[in-house]
Amino acid sequence: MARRKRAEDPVQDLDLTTMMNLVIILIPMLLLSVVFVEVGVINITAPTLSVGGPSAPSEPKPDEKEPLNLTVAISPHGFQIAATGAVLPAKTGCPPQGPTICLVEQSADVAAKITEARRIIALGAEREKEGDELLKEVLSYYNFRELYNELSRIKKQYPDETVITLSADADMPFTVLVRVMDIVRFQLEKDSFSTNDEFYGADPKVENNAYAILFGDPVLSILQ
Amino acid sequence: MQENQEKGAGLSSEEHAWLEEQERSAKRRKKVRRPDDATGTLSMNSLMDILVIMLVFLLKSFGDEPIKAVGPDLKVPTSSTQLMPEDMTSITVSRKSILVNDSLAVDHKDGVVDQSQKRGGERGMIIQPLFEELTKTIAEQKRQFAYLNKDYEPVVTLVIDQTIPYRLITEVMYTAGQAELSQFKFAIIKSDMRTFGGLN
Repeated sequence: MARRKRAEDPVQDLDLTTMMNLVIILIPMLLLSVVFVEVGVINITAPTLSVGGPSAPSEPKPDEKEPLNLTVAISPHGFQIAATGAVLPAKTGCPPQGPTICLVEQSADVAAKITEARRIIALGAEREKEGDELLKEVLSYYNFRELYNELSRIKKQYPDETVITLSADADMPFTVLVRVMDIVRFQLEKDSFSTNDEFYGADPKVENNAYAILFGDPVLSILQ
Repeated sequence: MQENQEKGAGLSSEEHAWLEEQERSAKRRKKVRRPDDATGTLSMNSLMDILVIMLVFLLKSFGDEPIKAVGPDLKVPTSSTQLMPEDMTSITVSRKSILVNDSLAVDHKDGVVDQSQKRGGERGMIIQPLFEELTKTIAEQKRQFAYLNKDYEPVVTLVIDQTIPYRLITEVMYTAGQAELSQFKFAIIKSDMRTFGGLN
Protein backbone atom coordinates (compact mmCIF):
# COMPACT_ATOMS: atom_id res chain seq x y z
CA MET A 1 0.00 0.00 0.00
CA ALA A 2 2.75 2.36 0.99
CA ARG A 3 4.56 1.52 -2.20
CA ARG A 4 1.61 2.36 -4.35
CA LYS A 5 1.19 5.73 -2.69
CA ARG A 6 4.73 6.73 -3.54
CA ALA A 7 4.18 5.82 -7.15
CA GLU A 8 1.12 8.05 -7.30
CA ASP A 9 3.00 11.10 -5.99
CA PRO A 10 3.57 13.65 -8.74
CA VAL A 11 7.23 13.58 -9.71
CA GLN A 12 8.87 16.75 -8.46
CA ASP A 13 10.63 18.28 -11.45
CA LEU A 14 12.94 21.24 -11.16
CA ASP A 15 11.23 24.31 -12.50
CA LEU A 16 13.52 25.09 -15.43
CA THR A 17 11.38 27.74 -17.09
CA THR A 18 13.56 30.70 -16.14
CA MET A 19 16.72 28.81 -16.93
CA MET A 20 15.28 27.82 -20.32
CA ASN A 21 14.40 31.43 -21.07
CA LEU A 22 17.94 32.46 -20.35
CA VAL A 23 19.46 29.69 -22.44
CA ILE A 24 17.12 30.26 -25.35
CA ILE A 25 18.01 33.94 -25.42
CA LEU A 26 21.75 33.37 -24.97
CA ILE A 27 22.12 30.80 -27.72
CA PRO A 28 20.85 32.88 -30.66
CA MET A 29 22.84 35.84 -29.35
CA LEU A 30 26.06 33.86 -29.24
CA LEU A 31 25.34 32.17 -32.55
CA LEU A 32 24.97 35.55 -34.18
CA SER A 33 28.16 36.88 -32.71
CA VAL A 34 30.20 33.80 -33.52
CA VAL A 35 32.32 34.40 -36.56
CA PHE A 36 32.98 31.21 -38.42
CA VAL A 37 36.30 32.28 -39.83
CA GLU A 38 39.68 31.39 -38.55
CA VAL A 39 42.10 34.23 -38.13
CA GLY A 40 45.78 33.68 -38.77
CA VAL A 41 48.78 35.95 -38.87
CA ILE A 42 51.72 36.65 -41.14
CA ASN A 43 54.96 37.61 -39.45
CA ILE A 44 56.47 40.65 -40.99
CA THR A 45 59.60 42.62 -40.28
CA ALA A 46 59.37 46.32 -39.69
CA PRO A 47 59.89 48.58 -42.63
CA THR A 48 63.31 50.06 -42.95
CA LEU A 49 63.19 53.70 -43.79
CA SER A 50 65.88 54.60 -46.23
CA VAL A 51 66.17 58.34 -46.52
CA GLY A 52 68.97 59.69 -48.68
CA GLY A 53 72.65 59.21 -47.79
CA PRO A 54 74.13 55.71 -47.61
CA SER A 55 74.29 54.13 -44.19
CA ALA A 56 77.73 53.27 -42.85
CA PRO A 57 78.87 50.27 -44.86
CA SER A 58 79.45 47.26 -42.68
CA GLU A 59 82.77 45.48 -43.07
CA PRO A 60 82.24 42.60 -45.45
CA LYS A 61 83.39 39.31 -44.02
CA PRO A 62 85.79 37.51 -46.38
CA ASP A 63 83.92 34.17 -46.35
CA GLU A 64 80.52 35.72 -46.77
CA LYS A 65 78.66 35.39 -50.02
CA GLU A 66 77.45 38.48 -51.73
CA PRO A 67 74.17 39.39 -50.02
CA LEU A 68 71.13 38.57 -52.12
CA ASN A 69 68.92 41.51 -51.05
CA LEU A 70 66.04 40.11 -53.03
CA THR A 71 63.43 42.78 -53.60
CA VAL A 72 60.05 42.58 -55.25
CA ALA A 73 58.36 45.85 -56.05
CA ILE A 74 54.69 45.74 -56.95
CA SER A 75 53.50 48.36 -59.41
CA PRO A 76 50.35 48.66 -61.51
CA HIS A 77 52.40 47.34 -64.42
CA GLY A 78 53.76 44.21 -62.80
CA PHE A 79 56.53 42.99 -60.54
CA GLN A 80 60.01 44.44 -60.55
CA ILE A 81 62.52 41.97 -59.14
CA ALA A 82 65.94 43.09 -57.96
CA ALA A 83 68.68 40.94 -56.48
CA THR A 84 72.32 41.50 -55.53
CA GLY A 85 71.88 45.15 -56.26
CA ALA A 86 70.78 44.75 -59.86
CA VAL A 87 67.30 44.90 -61.32
CA LEU A 88 66.42 41.86 -63.37
CA PRO A 89 65.59 42.72 -66.99
CA ALA A 90 62.09 42.27 -68.35
CA LYS A 91 61.15 38.70 -69.25
CA THR A 92 60.58 37.77 -72.84
CA GLY A 93 57.17 38.90 -74.00
CA CYS A 94 57.21 41.96 -71.76
CA PRO A 95 58.10 45.50 -72.87
CA PRO A 96 61.86 45.92 -72.39
CA GLN A 97 61.56 49.15 -70.42
CA GLY A 98 58.90 47.77 -68.09
CA PRO A 99 59.05 45.68 -64.94
CA THR A 100 60.62 42.20 -64.76
CA ILE A 101 57.28 40.44 -64.86
CA CYS A 102 54.56 42.30 -66.64
CA LEU A 103 50.80 41.87 -66.40
CA VAL A 104 49.00 39.02 -68.10
CA GLU A 105 47.15 41.59 -70.18
CA GLN A 106 49.47 44.49 -70.74
CA SER A 107 46.72 46.84 -71.83
CA ALA A 108 44.85 46.47 -68.53
CA ASP A 109 44.63 49.65 -66.47
CA VAL A 110 45.11 48.20 -63.00
CA ALA A 111 45.38 51.55 -61.22
CA ALA A 112 41.99 52.65 -62.57
CA LYS A 113 40.41 49.32 -61.57
CA ILE A 114 41.74 49.70 -58.03
CA THR A 115 40.32 53.22 -57.73
CA GLU A 116 36.99 51.98 -59.11
CA ALA A 117 36.93 49.04 -56.67
CA ARG A 118 37.53 51.38 -53.73
CA ARG A 119 34.80 53.73 -54.93
CA ILE A 120 32.28 50.91 -55.25
CA ILE A 121 33.12 49.38 -51.87
CA ALA A 122 32.76 52.81 -50.24
CA LEU A 123 29.18 53.03 -51.55
CA GLY A 124 27.94 50.59 -48.94
CA ALA A 125 27.38 46.98 -48.00
CA GLU A 126 25.08 46.20 -50.96
CA ARG A 127 27.77 46.99 -53.51
CA GLU A 128 30.64 45.46 -51.54
CA LYS A 129 30.50 42.18 -53.42
CA GLU A 130 30.86 43.98 -56.70
CA GLY A 131 33.95 45.76 -55.38
CA ASP A 132 35.38 42.45 -54.16
CA GLU A 133 34.95 41.02 -57.64
CA LEU A 134 36.78 43.98 -59.10
CA LEU A 135 39.66 43.49 -56.66
CA LYS A 136 39.80 39.83 -57.66
CA GLU A 137 39.95 40.92 -61.26
CA VAL A 138 42.89 43.16 -60.37
CA LEU A 139 44.64 40.16 -58.81
CA SER A 140 43.99 38.06 -61.90
CA TYR A 141 45.95 40.55 -64.05
CA TYR A 142 49.15 39.85 -62.15
CA ASN A 143 51.29 37.01 -63.38
CA PHE A 144 51.85 35.21 -60.08
CA ARG A 145 52.91 32.01 -61.84
CA GLU A 146 55.82 33.74 -63.53
CA LEU A 147 56.75 35.42 -60.23
CA TYR A 148 56.89 32.02 -58.56
CA ASN A 149 58.97 30.54 -61.40
CA GLU A 150 61.45 33.38 -61.20
CA LEU A 151 61.75 33.29 -57.42
CA SER A 152 62.19 29.55 -57.28
CA ARG A 153 64.98 29.89 -59.85
CA ILE A 154 66.68 32.41 -57.53
CA LYS A 155 66.04 30.12 -54.56
CA LYS A 156 68.03 27.37 -56.29
CA GLN A 157 71.07 29.62 -56.43
CA TYR A 158 70.62 30.83 -52.85
CA PRO A 159 69.08 27.87 -51.00
CA ASP A 160 69.62 29.35 -47.52
CA GLU A 161 68.08 32.71 -48.21
CA THR A 162 64.58 33.26 -46.81
CA VAL A 163 64.35 37.04 -46.59
CA ILE A 164 62.50 38.97 -49.25
CA THR A 165 61.94 42.70 -49.27
CA LEU A 166 58.59 43.81 -50.58
CA SER A 167 57.63 47.24 -51.66
CA ALA A 168 54.68 48.54 -53.56
CA ASP A 169 53.30 51.63 -55.14
CA ALA A 170 51.72 54.00 -52.63
CA ASP A 171 48.25 53.21 -53.90
CA MET A 172 48.55 49.39 -54.03
CA PRO A 173 45.78 47.74 -51.97
CA PHE A 174 46.69 45.48 -49.05
CA THR A 175 45.13 42.42 -50.66
CA VAL A 176 47.72 42.41 -53.48
CA LEU A 177 50.51 42.57 -50.91
CA VAL A 178 49.09 39.62 -48.97
CA ARG A 179 48.73 37.62 -52.18
CA VAL A 180 52.37 38.24 -53.09
CA MET A 181 53.40 37.17 -49.58
CA ASP A 182 51.35 33.98 -50.08
CA ILE A 183 53.05 33.19 -53.36
CA VAL A 184 56.57 33.71 -52.03
CA ARG A 185 56.06 31.81 -48.77
CA PHE A 186 56.21 28.12 -49.71
CA GLN A 187 57.87 26.04 -52.36
CA LEU A 188 55.45 24.06 -54.50
CA GLU A 189 55.85 20.51 -55.79
CA LYS A 190 57.48 21.80 -58.96
CA ASP A 191 59.97 24.59 -59.48
CA SER A 192 58.43 25.85 -62.65
CA PHE A 193 54.91 25.84 -63.98
CA SER A 194 53.84 26.45 -67.52
CA THR A 195 50.08 26.77 -67.05
CA ASN A 196 47.99 28.62 -64.48
CA ASP A 197 45.76 25.62 -63.78
CA GLU A 198 48.77 23.54 -62.89
CA PHE A 199 50.17 26.33 -60.73
CA TYR A 200 47.04 27.02 -58.71
CA GLY A 201 46.31 23.33 -58.30
CA ALA A 202 49.79 22.50 -57.05
CA ASP A 203 50.42 21.25 -53.52
CA PRO A 204 53.19 22.71 -51.42
CA LYS A 205 56.41 20.76 -51.25
CA VAL A 206 56.92 18.87 -47.97
CA GLU A 207 60.39 18.48 -46.49
CA ASN A 208 61.01 16.97 -43.05
CA ASN A 209 57.27 16.97 -42.31
CA ALA A 210 56.97 20.69 -42.89
CA TYR A 211 56.28 22.85 -45.88
CA ALA A 212 59.48 23.84 -47.64
CA ILE A 213 60.02 27.58 -47.36
CA LEU A 214 60.69 29.63 -50.45
CA PHE A 215 61.16 33.15 -49.10
CA GLY A 216 59.26 33.04 -45.82
CA ASP A 217 60.45 36.19 -44.08
CA PRO A 218 58.94 39.20 -45.80
CA VAL A 219 60.28 42.63 -44.97
CA LEU A 220 58.35 45.71 -45.96
CA SER A 221 60.21 48.68 -47.26
CA ILE A 222 58.98 52.21 -47.50
CA LEU A 223 59.09 54.28 -50.62
CA GLN A 224 59.84 57.82 -49.63
CA MET B 1 1.54 -29.94 -14.14
CA GLN B 2 4.98 -28.85 -15.08
CA GLU B 3 4.23 -29.59 -18.66
CA ASN B 4 1.08 -27.46 -18.46
CA GLN B 5 2.95 -24.51 -17.06
CA GLU B 6 5.48 -24.70 -19.81
CA LYS B 7 2.78 -24.55 -22.41
CA GLY B 8 1.16 -21.64 -20.56
CA ALA B 9 -2.25 -23.25 -20.60
CA GLY B 10 -4.50 -25.22 -18.34
CA LEU B 11 -4.49 -22.78 -15.44
CA SER B 12 -6.60 -23.51 -12.45
CA SER B 13 -9.62 -21.33 -11.70
CA GLU B 14 -7.78 -19.79 -8.73
CA GLU B 15 -5.00 -18.71 -10.94
CA HIS B 16 -7.46 -17.26 -13.47
CA ALA B 17 -9.09 -15.26 -10.74
CA TRP B 18 -5.73 -13.95 -9.60
CA LEU B 19 -4.82 -12.88 -13.11
CA GLU B 20 -8.10 -11.05 -13.55
CA GLU B 21 -7.61 -9.32 -10.23
CA GLN B 22 -4.19 -8.16 -11.39
CA GLU B 23 -5.62 -6.81 -14.62
CA ARG B 24 -8.34 -4.95 -12.80
CA SER B 25 -5.96 -3.40 -10.36
CA ALA B 26 -3.69 -2.36 -13.21
CA LYS B 27 -6.67 -0.61 -14.85
CA ARG B 28 -7.54 1.05 -11.58
CA ARG B 29 -4.02 2.31 -11.21
CA LYS B 30 -4.17 3.78 -14.67
CA LYS B 31 -7.44 5.51 -13.89
CA VAL B 32 -6.00 7.02 -10.75
CA ARG B 33 -2.90 8.29 -12.51
CA ARG B 34 -4.61 9.84 -15.47
CA PRO B 35 -5.59 13.13 -13.77
CA ASP B 36 -1.91 13.59 -12.86
CA ASP B 37 -0.79 12.97 -16.39
CA ALA B 38 -3.14 15.58 -17.73
CA THR B 39 -1.26 18.38 -16.01
CA GLY B 40 2.16 16.77 -16.63
CA THR B 41 4.97 18.78 -18.14
CA LEU B 42 7.01 18.02 -21.23
CA SER B 43 10.17 16.16 -20.41
CA MET B 44 12.88 18.50 -21.61
CA ASN B 45 15.87 16.81 -20.07
CA SER B 46 17.51 15.83 -23.33
CA LEU B 47 16.76 19.21 -24.88
CA MET B 48 18.35 20.90 -21.88
CA ASP B 49 21.41 18.69 -22.25
CA ILE B 50 21.82 19.82 -25.85
CA LEU B 51 21.30 23.45 -25.01
CA VAL B 52 23.72 23.44 -22.12
CA ILE B 53 26.42 21.78 -24.21
CA MET B 54 25.82 24.26 -27.04
CA LEU B 55 26.00 27.14 -24.61
CA VAL B 56 29.35 25.99 -23.29
CA PHE B 57 30.79 25.57 -26.80
CA LEU B 58 29.52 28.93 -27.98
CA LEU B 59 30.82 30.70 -24.90
CA LYS B 60 34.19 29.07 -25.46
CA SER B 61 34.43 30.09 -29.11
CA PHE B 62 33.25 33.56 -28.10
CA GLY B 63 36.04 33.85 -25.58
CA ASP B 64 39.10 32.50 -27.34
CA GLU B 65 39.08 34.74 -30.41
CA PRO B 66 41.87 37.16 -29.62
CA ILE B 67 41.34 39.31 -32.70
CA LYS B 68 38.15 40.50 -34.27
CA ALA B 69 38.77 40.59 -38.00
CA VAL B 70 35.28 41.24 -39.30
CA GLY B 71 33.30 44.43 -39.18
CA PRO B 72 30.98 46.61 -41.24
CA ASP B 73 33.84 48.50 -42.88
CA LEU B 74 36.56 45.93 -42.42
CA LYS B 75 37.29 42.99 -44.68
CA VAL B 76 40.59 41.29 -44.14
CA PRO B 77 42.14 39.45 -47.09
CA THR B 78 42.54 35.69 -47.07
CA SER B 79 45.89 33.94 -46.97
CA SER B 80 47.38 30.49 -46.72
CA THR B 81 49.53 31.22 -43.67
CA GLN B 82 49.73 28.61 -40.92
CA LEU B 83 50.47 30.84 -37.91
CA MET B 84 48.01 31.41 -35.09
CA PRO B 85 47.22 34.86 -33.69
CA GLU B 86 48.29 35.92 -30.21
CA ASP B 87 46.49 38.14 -27.80
CA MET B 88 48.57 41.29 -28.00
CA THR B 89 48.20 44.93 -28.90
CA SER B 90 46.25 45.26 -32.11
CA ILE B 91 45.94 48.10 -34.55
CA THR B 92 42.88 47.92 -36.76
CA VAL B 93 42.86 49.89 -39.99
CA SER B 94 39.31 49.87 -41.29
CA ARG B 95 38.08 51.69 -44.38
CA LYS B 96 37.35 54.81 -42.33
CA SER B 97 39.47 54.86 -39.21
CA ILE B 98 42.45 53.54 -37.31
CA LEU B 99 41.83 51.91 -33.95
CA VAL B 100 44.17 50.75 -31.20
CA ASN B 101 42.71 47.82 -29.26
CA ASP B 102 39.18 48.83 -30.32
CA SER B 103 39.49 52.46 -29.27
CA LEU B 104 39.50 55.08 -31.98
CA ALA B 105 42.81 56.80 -32.64
CA VAL B 106 42.26 58.72 -35.85
CA ASP B 107 40.04 58.78 -38.93
CA HIS B 108 41.29 58.60 -42.47
CA LYS B 109 39.64 59.35 -45.77
CA ASP B 110 40.26 56.94 -48.67
CA GLY B 111 43.52 55.83 -47.13
CA VAL B 112 44.85 59.30 -46.48
CA VAL B 113 45.22 60.70 -42.98
CA ASP B 114 44.70 64.44 -42.88
CA GLN B 115 48.06 66.15 -42.93
CA SER B 116 47.23 68.21 -39.85
CA GLN B 117 47.27 64.91 -37.92
CA LYS B 118 50.72 63.97 -39.16
CA ARG B 119 54.12 65.02 -37.96
CA GLY B 120 55.85 66.70 -40.87
CA GLY B 121 52.78 67.44 -42.98
CA GLU B 122 51.73 65.56 -46.09
CA ARG B 123 54.99 63.64 -46.56
CA GLY B 124 55.30 62.85 -42.87
CA MET B 125 55.33 59.25 -41.72
CA ILE B 126 54.20 59.59 -38.10
CA ILE B 127 50.48 59.82 -37.42
CA GLN B 128 50.42 61.82 -34.20
CA PRO B 129 47.08 60.70 -32.62
CA LEU B 130 47.92 57.06 -33.36
CA PHE B 131 51.34 57.51 -31.82
CA GLU B 132 49.85 59.01 -28.65
CA GLU B 133 47.22 56.28 -28.36
CA LEU B 134 49.87 53.59 -28.84
CA THR B 135 52.22 55.09 -26.26
CA LYS B 136 49.35 55.20 -23.77
CA THR B 137 48.32 51.58 -24.48
CA ILE B 138 51.87 50.30 -24.32
CA ALA B 139 52.58 52.08 -21.02
CA GLU B 140 49.44 50.50 -19.60
CA GLN B 141 50.42 47.05 -20.86
CA LYS B 142 53.95 47.33 -19.56
CA ARG B 143 52.56 48.19 -16.14
CA GLN B 144 50.27 45.18 -16.26
CA PHE B 145 53.06 42.86 -17.33
CA ALA B 146 55.37 44.16 -14.63
CA TYR B 147 52.63 43.53 -12.10
CA LEU B 148 52.25 39.95 -13.36
CA ASN B 149 56.03 39.47 -13.42
CA LYS B 150 56.03 38.69 -17.12
CA ASP B 151 58.28 39.99 -19.84
CA TYR B 152 56.65 42.46 -22.15
CA GLU B 153 57.04 41.67 -25.83
CA PRO B 154 56.67 44.53 -28.27
CA VAL B 155 54.36 42.59 -30.59
CA VAL B 156 51.58 44.24 -32.53
CA THR B 157 48.96 42.65 -34.75
CA LEU B 158 47.78 44.73 -37.66
CA VAL B 159 44.24 44.07 -38.82
CA ILE B 160 44.01 45.83 -42.16
CA ASP B 161 41.15 46.06 -44.61
CA GLN B 162 41.88 44.68 -48.08
CA THR B 163 41.56 48.01 -49.85
CA ILE B 164 43.95 50.02 -47.66
CA PRO B 165 46.75 51.47 -49.79
CA TYR B 166 50.37 50.55 -49.16
CA ARG B 167 51.29 54.08 -48.17
CA LEU B 168 48.94 54.07 -45.17
CA ILE B 169 50.17 50.62 -44.08
CA THR B 170 53.75 51.83 -44.01
CA GLU B 171 52.77 54.97 -42.13
CA VAL B 172 50.96 52.93 -39.49
CA MET B 173 53.89 50.53 -39.19
CA TYR B 174 56.40 53.34 -39.00
CA THR B 175 54.38 55.08 -36.28
CA ALA B 176 54.15 51.80 -34.36
CA GLY B 177 57.90 51.41 -34.75
CA GLN B 178 58.40 54.85 -33.22
CA ALA B 179 56.19 53.77 -30.32
CA GLU B 180 58.70 50.98 -29.57
CA LEU B 181 56.73 48.20 -31.21
CA SER B 182 59.15 46.09 -33.20
CA GLN B 183 57.44 42.81 -34.07
CA PHE B 184 54.65 43.04 -36.58
CA LYS B 185 52.02 40.55 -37.59
CA PHE B 186 49.36 40.95 -40.26
CA ALA B 187 46.06 39.38 -39.34
CA ILE B 188 44.39 37.56 -42.21
CA ILE B 189 41.61 35.04 -42.67
CA LYS B 190 42.93 31.55 -43.16
CA SER B 191 42.05 29.80 -46.36
CA ASP B 192 42.85 26.55 -48.05
CA MET B 193 46.53 26.01 -48.70
CA ARG B 194 46.05 25.28 -52.37
CA THR B 195 43.86 28.16 -53.39
CA PHE B 196 46.29 31.00 -52.70
CA GLY B 197 43.64 32.93 -50.89
CA GLY B 198 40.76 32.01 -53.14
CA LEU B 199 42.04 33.26 -56.45
CA ASN B 200 40.85 30.21 -58.31
